[in-house]
Amino acid sequence: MSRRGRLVERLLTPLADLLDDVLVELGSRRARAALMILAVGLSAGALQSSVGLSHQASAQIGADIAASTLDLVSVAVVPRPAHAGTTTARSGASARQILPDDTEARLAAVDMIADGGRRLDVSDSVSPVVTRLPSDQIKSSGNDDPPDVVAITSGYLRASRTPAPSDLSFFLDGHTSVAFLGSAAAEALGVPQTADPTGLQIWIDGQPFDVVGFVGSGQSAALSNAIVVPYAVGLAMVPDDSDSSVLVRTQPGAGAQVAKIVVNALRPDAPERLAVSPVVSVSDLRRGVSTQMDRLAAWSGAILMVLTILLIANSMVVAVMARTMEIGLRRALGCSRRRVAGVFLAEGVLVGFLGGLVGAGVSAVAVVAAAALNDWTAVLQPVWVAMGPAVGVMVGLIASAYPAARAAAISPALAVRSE
Amino acid sequence: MSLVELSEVTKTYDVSPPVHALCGVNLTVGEGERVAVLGRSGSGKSTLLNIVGLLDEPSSGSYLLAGRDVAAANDKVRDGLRAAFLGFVFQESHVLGNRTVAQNVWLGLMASGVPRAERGDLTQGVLERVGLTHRSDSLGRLLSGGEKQRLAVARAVVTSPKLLLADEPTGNLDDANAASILDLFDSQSATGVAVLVITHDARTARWADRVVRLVDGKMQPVLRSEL
Repeated sequence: MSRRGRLVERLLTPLADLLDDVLVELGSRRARAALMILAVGLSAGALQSSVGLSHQASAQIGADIAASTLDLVSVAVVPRPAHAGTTTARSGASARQILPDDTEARLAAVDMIADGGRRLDVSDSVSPVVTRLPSDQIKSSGNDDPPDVVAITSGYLRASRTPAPSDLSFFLDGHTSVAFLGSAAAEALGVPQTADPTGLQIWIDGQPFDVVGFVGSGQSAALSNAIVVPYAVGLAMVPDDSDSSVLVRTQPGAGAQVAKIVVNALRPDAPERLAVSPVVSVSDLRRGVSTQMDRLAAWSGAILMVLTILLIANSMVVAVMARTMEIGLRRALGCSRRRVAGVFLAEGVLVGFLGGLVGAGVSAVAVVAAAALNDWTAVLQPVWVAMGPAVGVMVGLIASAYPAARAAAISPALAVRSE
Repeated sequence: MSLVELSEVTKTYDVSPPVHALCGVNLTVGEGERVAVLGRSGSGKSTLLNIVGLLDEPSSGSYLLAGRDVAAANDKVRDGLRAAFLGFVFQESHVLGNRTVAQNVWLGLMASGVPRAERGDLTQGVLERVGLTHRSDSLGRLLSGGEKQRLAVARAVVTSPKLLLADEPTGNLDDANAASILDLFDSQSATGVAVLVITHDARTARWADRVVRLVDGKMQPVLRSEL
């Protein structure tokens, strides 16, 4: 045999011997080996599949959030500084207005905007008294959460996808004293929510408003406890429109682009008077949801894995005690402590590797099955699945470290006398 | 030159109160010599075997193995010397029941680092010598007491040790099997292998070239006429 061949044999022989030893040992205790492999498999599978499912769920949640919010842009009026002068009428806005009267038309002129409209929270500026009858006072009825008066345009209704009688929404763009009631507001005022509210009235600051319909809660606007009036009517109740905002629904995915241009479309002369809600915060939200869910799953899996490590370590410590005589015999025959430890470490690594393979299969099946059952898109990362055996090897190595050290520490003189 | 030279060897176990297992023991074993150590339980026989077999260290005194001072040798040196020079046969045989006869023999070869290509022939050769060729693939737990002890001898001698250490090798055997084991020892001795046997069995003692007795950790010569 060549010198190189002898060197290779010298290096490989101990490894081959170790593998022989472990295979014989596992083969002679098949039930124990199978249980340990299964434990690692389920543990690694649980870790992988929980992270995989979490990844999948968070991807789905992210997609849902994106679908519902990434095409929305909110523009708020920046409160006027105390020393500031009045705004010129050149923009189409009056002195007390920041948002121009033709806001909706300006929005419609932007290609990527699907819908858009103004909203003014009248109750934030003044405290209008809302009553069912001219002599009633809703506040005296003991209601701690009186209805809010909210003025909107029909564009806002469409942008927020608020359910309302669409054939009557034109009222919101006019100056007529009409009102749509949210369900909670209607209940608080004692207004029956009928299909035909003709003849029903409410009173705001002593002025009668005909109830023309009822609104639900939209995807992006909570109007349940609101009395919705035309924007122009609401604007007449407040000193200025500093509590106004604009809600814009863009074409899907165009939120970020619209956010950059919408202010200039509305007030090219005074863009600093308007603030766009940063779309990036939604992205952060998505990332946050994803990260938190991944962490939650990883922690759950890690705890399960620690339990598995303890389970296997316990099983191997018992095996070390049962094999004390054998360990003594090996030492008597000339095996070093390192070699004795190596037998148990190799057993742990092999069990872990096989368990990891099982775990990878379990997790792949679990992720695909969960996706199929929930109508999700399966997110199965090949790298993550391939990591199964690596995770198993790590579990096996950690679990066998203490039993191996304990085996190596056994005194051969005492061990050969045990049976 | 003696293979084994123990000089004023003592062994004290640090328990409360301290146990003086060996007290100034002197012993030499030459190549091919058959030496029996007699003694009652607790006389220090096993301690002596552990020290000669490098499984334990003496508290004081010197121990030369093949001319090399090994009394204070470290673990690595002891492991290497055990693999190269020594073979063990224990009373309980210590056959691994979940391994075949051949795999049990392999254990000794693995520890000695014998190349895998050579192990098959060596295993078959030694099993033939102890008469276990036909049981080569049988599991250890399926062997009879006599067969187990013959397998233990095979495992001990397959690496061609210079010194065979046996602790009550015939203690659990009937006359026929005991004689068979002693015959195997004889065949080893004939090739120059020294055999040190710990026993309380007069039959085994009579077989030895030289017999010594341990009494309370002290060595005493034994006359043939006493056996």
